[in-house]
Amino acid sequence: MSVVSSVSPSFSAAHRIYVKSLYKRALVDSLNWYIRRDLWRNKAIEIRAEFERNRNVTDPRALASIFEKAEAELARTQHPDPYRPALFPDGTKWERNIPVSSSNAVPALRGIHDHESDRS
Amino acid sequence: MLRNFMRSSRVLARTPVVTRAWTPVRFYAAPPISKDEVTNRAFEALKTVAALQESKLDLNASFQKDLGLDSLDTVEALVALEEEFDLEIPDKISDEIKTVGEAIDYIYEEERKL
Repeated sequence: MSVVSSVSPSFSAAHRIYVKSLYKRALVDSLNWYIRRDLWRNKAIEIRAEFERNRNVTDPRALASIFEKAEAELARTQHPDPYRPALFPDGTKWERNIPVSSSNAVPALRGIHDHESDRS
Repeated sequence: MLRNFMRSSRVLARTPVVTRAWTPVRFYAAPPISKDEVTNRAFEALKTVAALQESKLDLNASFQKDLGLDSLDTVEALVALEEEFDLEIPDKISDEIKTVGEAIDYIYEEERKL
């Protein structure tokens, strides 16, 4: 469609980023449902085929409806207890053992002040 | 009878109660990961990406130019790396990662933060 090709590049850039994020979310969510990566491969191929099917859609209205459907489907199949990397937000080790700040912000957490060294 | 008991309990008290067949060991954290290890594991993980041409796998190889991936395959490659290293690569950073070397540098920096 001529409309899309003449649209400013920011649309296509934003569109590209959005599609990549959608693809990633679909992959990660499907990965949450599988315990073996080799079994998951088929699912990944399915997801990829889904994206390929709409590869040449350039009409913004058609795209919007496709995205809406895809988001709804993703929300429906969302894993109730998704895997989170341990050291990242929502993970079991997130923000554990943070180094204690020596700033004055939290006096109670400051190290004991060495008064002896002040005198000399 | 009671005296006997008292005596034996005193003897018991003198002998050490705990006898260890093993010496206690203190376990420390694993040494920090080396860059070679990151590279090897990253290559192994990237080989699981179907569309990737393994023979061209190299530190300087660009995902899209050299390895024959398109943008969605690159996303898949990064998901494979995330899974291997137990990371979450934010979208902003994954957009800037163009080569295998850049991905490995980022992962190495993240692993060093632990």
